[in-house]
Amino acid sequence: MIKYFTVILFLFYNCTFAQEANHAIAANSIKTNFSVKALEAYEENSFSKLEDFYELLEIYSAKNTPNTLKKQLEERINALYKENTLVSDFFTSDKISVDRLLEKVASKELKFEIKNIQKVKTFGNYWTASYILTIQRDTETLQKNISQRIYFYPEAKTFGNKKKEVWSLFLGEME
Amino acid sequence: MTELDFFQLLKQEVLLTYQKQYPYFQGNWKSFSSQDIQNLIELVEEKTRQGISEKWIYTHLKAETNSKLPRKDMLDILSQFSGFSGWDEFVFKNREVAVEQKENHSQKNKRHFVVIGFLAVIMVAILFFAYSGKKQTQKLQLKNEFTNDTIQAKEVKAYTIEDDKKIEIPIRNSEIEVALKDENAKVVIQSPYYKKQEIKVNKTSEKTEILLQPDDYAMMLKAFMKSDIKDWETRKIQLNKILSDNLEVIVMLKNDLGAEYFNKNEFSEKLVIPTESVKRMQILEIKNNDEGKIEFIRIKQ
Repeated sequence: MIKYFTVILFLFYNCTFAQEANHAIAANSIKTNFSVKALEAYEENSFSKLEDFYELLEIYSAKNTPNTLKKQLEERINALYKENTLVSDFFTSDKISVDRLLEKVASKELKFEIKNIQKVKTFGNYWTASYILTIQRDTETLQKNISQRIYFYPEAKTFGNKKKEVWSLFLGEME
Repeated sequence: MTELDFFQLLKQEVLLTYQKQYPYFQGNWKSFSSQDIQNLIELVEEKTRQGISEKWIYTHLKAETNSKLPRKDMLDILSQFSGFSGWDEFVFKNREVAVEQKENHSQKNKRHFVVIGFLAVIMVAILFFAYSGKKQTQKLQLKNEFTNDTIQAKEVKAYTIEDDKKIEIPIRNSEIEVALKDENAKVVIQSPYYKKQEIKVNKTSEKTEILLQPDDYAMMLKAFMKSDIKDWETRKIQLNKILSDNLEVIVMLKNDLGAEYFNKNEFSEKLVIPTESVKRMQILEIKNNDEGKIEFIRIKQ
């Protein structure tokens, strides 16, 4: 009898916990918080983060970029990305960390260009964007179709002695 | 009109009658030749059955002015030649015409006076309404107090304050035009890059420009946003100095449909290495804390 009661209590607890988790997910879902028009504005803004990323990557890749500036660029690029994100190695398509990607492009004198950036689909806390990436090194040119996640979720941000919850955009995994 | 005036008229009538017979004659008594005189003598004789001498014509008709009136019988002959029964009828008819002309002339004059008077009244009315209806305005140019350069419209906003309401004044070619409704037109100039200024403009004011004092930190920020990678380390140090630790930056998205927030560290990183997206940003509002450091920035993406 006690055994049955314990099992029922355990199932009830699990259901309640699962419901709370679902409520939390729904509360932070993009579609439940933003109108279509507002979402379009955020999507457009997120595309400029992709452009920023490749612009910064090109400076990082330049031969004459000093190490002090590289360090600054690493901070700046990492700030664009959600923590622990894996991106594509442009040359092997392996999944690597952003830091590893930076190592690989350093001093390679690569030129990056992206075009046709489009939102593909919106999910719970991210959407996917597709674009064509052109990488040029000397006379060689590599073109890749890339699909990348862009995360959009609320976070507690600190402004000195103030703290407030704001919705932030971060670049995510390349697929 | 005197009798001598009527005689001058008769002389004109004689010429006109002569021209009917000799249309190629287009002159006047002065150019009336001896041949014309002969022709006239013949015509007068033919038409009136009475004679007129060449000498008489020279004395009375060819003369430009006549000091005395010729004899009545000669006047009758010339009047008959011109289609009248005699001198009396000629005078009578022409007096009527003269009176009529005089009346017409005076009526015409009266009409002219009425029309001119009417137009004058309309002109005065137009001027009066134009003057009283149109607000007197004053143009004021916006300039940087230190450099004396004119200030671009996108960097500044101008308002008039009426009944505690702010009414935006358009800025064209760095100039505002202020309507002087009364003697206390209050103009407020606001800009993220210049210190707020309130001025009073009145009808007697001879001000033609408003000098705005630039906010040094805001100007530095504007320059940083447009800069290239060069001097990034100096920029980093300066940003740390001018930005408050409590800085809150709001980047307004397209059509104000959303906003992105950045703290001091995030915003400084953006400005240390400004990308094209940063260069496109436009500062809308800046607030400083008591120490003068920037603690709030509103930006348009």
